[in-house]
Amino acid sequence: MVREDNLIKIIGKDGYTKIRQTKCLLVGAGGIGSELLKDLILMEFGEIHIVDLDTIDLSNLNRQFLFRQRDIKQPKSTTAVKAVQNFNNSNLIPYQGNIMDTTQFPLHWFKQFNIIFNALDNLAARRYVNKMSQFLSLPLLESGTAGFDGYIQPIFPGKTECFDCTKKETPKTFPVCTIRSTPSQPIHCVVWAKNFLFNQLFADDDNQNEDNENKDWGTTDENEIKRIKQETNELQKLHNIILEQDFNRIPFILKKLFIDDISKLLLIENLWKTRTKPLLLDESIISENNHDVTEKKSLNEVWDIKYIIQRFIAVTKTLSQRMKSEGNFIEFDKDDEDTLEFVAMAANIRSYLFHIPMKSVFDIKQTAGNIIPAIATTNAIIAGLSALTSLRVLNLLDKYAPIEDVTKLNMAFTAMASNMTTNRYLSNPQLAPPNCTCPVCSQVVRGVVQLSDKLNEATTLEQLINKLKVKYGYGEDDDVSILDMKDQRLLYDFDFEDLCLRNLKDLKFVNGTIILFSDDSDNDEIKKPIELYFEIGDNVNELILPTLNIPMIKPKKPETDNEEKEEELVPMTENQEDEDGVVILDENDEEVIVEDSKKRPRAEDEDDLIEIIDLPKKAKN
Amino acid sequence: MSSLCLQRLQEERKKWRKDHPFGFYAKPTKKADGSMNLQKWEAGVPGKEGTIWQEGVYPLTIEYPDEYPSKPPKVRLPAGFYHPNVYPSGTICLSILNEDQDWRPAITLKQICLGIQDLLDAPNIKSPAQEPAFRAFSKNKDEYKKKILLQAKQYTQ
Repeated sequence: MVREDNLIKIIGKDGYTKIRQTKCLLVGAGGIGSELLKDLILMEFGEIHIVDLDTIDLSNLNRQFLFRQRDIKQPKSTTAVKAVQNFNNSNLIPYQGNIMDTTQFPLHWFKQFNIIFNALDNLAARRYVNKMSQFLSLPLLESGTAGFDGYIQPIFPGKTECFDCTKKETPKTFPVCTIRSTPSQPIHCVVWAKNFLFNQLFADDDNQNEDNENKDWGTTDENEIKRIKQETNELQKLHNIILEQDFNRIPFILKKLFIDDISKLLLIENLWKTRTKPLLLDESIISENNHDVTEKKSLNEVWDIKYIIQRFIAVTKTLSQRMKSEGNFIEFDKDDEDTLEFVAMAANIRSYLFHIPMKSVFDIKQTAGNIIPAIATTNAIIAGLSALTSLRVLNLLDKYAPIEDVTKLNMAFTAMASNMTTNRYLSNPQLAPPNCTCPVCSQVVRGVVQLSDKLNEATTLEQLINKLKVKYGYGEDDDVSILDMKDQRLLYDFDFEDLCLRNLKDLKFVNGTIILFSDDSDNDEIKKPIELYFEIGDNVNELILPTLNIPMIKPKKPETDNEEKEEELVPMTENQEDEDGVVILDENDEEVIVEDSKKRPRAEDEDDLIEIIDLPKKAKN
Repeated sequence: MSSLCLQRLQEERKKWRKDHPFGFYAKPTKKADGSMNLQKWEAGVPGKEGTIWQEGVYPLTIEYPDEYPSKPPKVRLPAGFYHPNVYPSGTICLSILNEDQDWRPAITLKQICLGIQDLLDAPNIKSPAQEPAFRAFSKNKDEYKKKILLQAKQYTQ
């Protein structure tokens, strides 16, 4: 067989035998995953397990080349495996599931692999797989793309930087004040339209039924309370127009948002000392346009304000007609044309009044959906690099490039992602050793606890703490704390002993629970915190704590060092001078987050021709 | 959420327990299962002695996002709180709590609480956040003072 012969020429007979015996885990069968699966098969990996929780969507088909129109709505993992059969010589095992699900994928399941390939699209799952690789000291090949950019990074637990050693970029937030009163960029208006206005009108939650009579208004002044209530009522009125499908009053919404509210802003003179005052919407435009429009303009063009007003009225009508059948709750979705058009129109009207350039619906779709185009070529390049690098990670190229030290291996970044050079596409710096301040790989000792179901129910938190103290050399009275890292909660510390007598099962200890056991004493040297993974089941009849070597460390800097800085800081607590201002539009002013990152605990994206992928900020050198 | 966020919050709790300014309090809220939610705290800031704020201890809710400490916590006073730099919802617009301005990951809970105590009696006239208190503060100091004293009474402990 030709494929095999070529491989043997490169990695040798022994190498070939070894790769045939290698078991690898591929997490994700989307953009990078499809490419990578093909590459790994062509490299004749013995066994490949593919995990993906997603199903195939029409918009995947332009680049996830293993999938066809007929596969839409089918699971990615199993479909990918079927699609490769005619050129496959590996043992393929697909799973449809979330890699973070500890029932389907407990820690010991990960143990069977020689290497893990990440082909993921979200931070949470990347962080999770990174942690599993740290628990098991399994090499991990991390990768990601965003538009024309991408990177690969081999991770050798304990020897090279882990995924969390460098800071990862998170969605940008804007101060409330900018969004609500003093927008200066198109994005500010889009955020206003999408996160504030749209939700107020179409996704009003249960706040409206709050007990107005007994509410704490923070003041006893009756006029004051009246004013706050009025503000709340005004918004409620707009929402009612939508609910009652009172189409003749849609112009009233325009008037309230773009004349009355802006008039109120104009009254606050301080805001406009250094800024250009916003315009008020011309009332005649509203009234002359109060009829249906049939003309359709291109979504790629910037429309004129009159047409925008027409479309605003039309799409508001459409949405309010939809409300009833959709349970009085419509969520913004960039692929839902009505919601997109509403947000685009509202944002543009606001931009127009604030002297900000208007944008086409298409542009606003990108901004509002927070989307970066996913590019098949980038995925192919990155997957190829990942596959090739795996040969070095598994030390199959030792004839040409023996590895004395894994930090001599390279990661790869595209030029734009790395900011290092502009005259070549790829940079490939050597791997760095673990970052000594990394909370994931450097600041903790790791181990696995084995516990029987029976004892999970029969052991109290206090008993567990005492056992941990004895096992890891703590004194009986030493202060310790226990954090549950899986459910993000504090279970015990010096000041919080409420849960001591409850049993572990009652405290929701399950197979896959991860706790952080820390030394909370005031000493100059403390024991390094221990992160423990709980394997709970019937494999054992007892509670087995792992034997670990716990080094002493210096506690994090006490604040006495910062004392001077603190004093300095305090008088600086001024409000922003330029950025902020007043808005008294309603009383639900929040910080506005552009992308809702919390909403994506999934291992794969429901990605479109566009896909959001987390990318580390910069390559470290 | 990152491990960093949780570990740092536990650190904040430890620091606060060891050392916090007199008259202040701060504690994490409890989850329904009885455990502590380190991402949401309740705190109290006393008005400074010798100011019209002195009689009250003003309750704050502090919410730490998953990206903390890269991003600042959101700090609120009760809705409708009377102060020129507090939004009608109670959100405080303060430069050290703003990611784009003076927020730094090293800023501690203690610094935030002291910063807010400072702001109470030293409003920043350049960035009003609500109409009534701002107007009274700039145009009618007597009325402002009266309102503040009344409000302080409401928050005596």
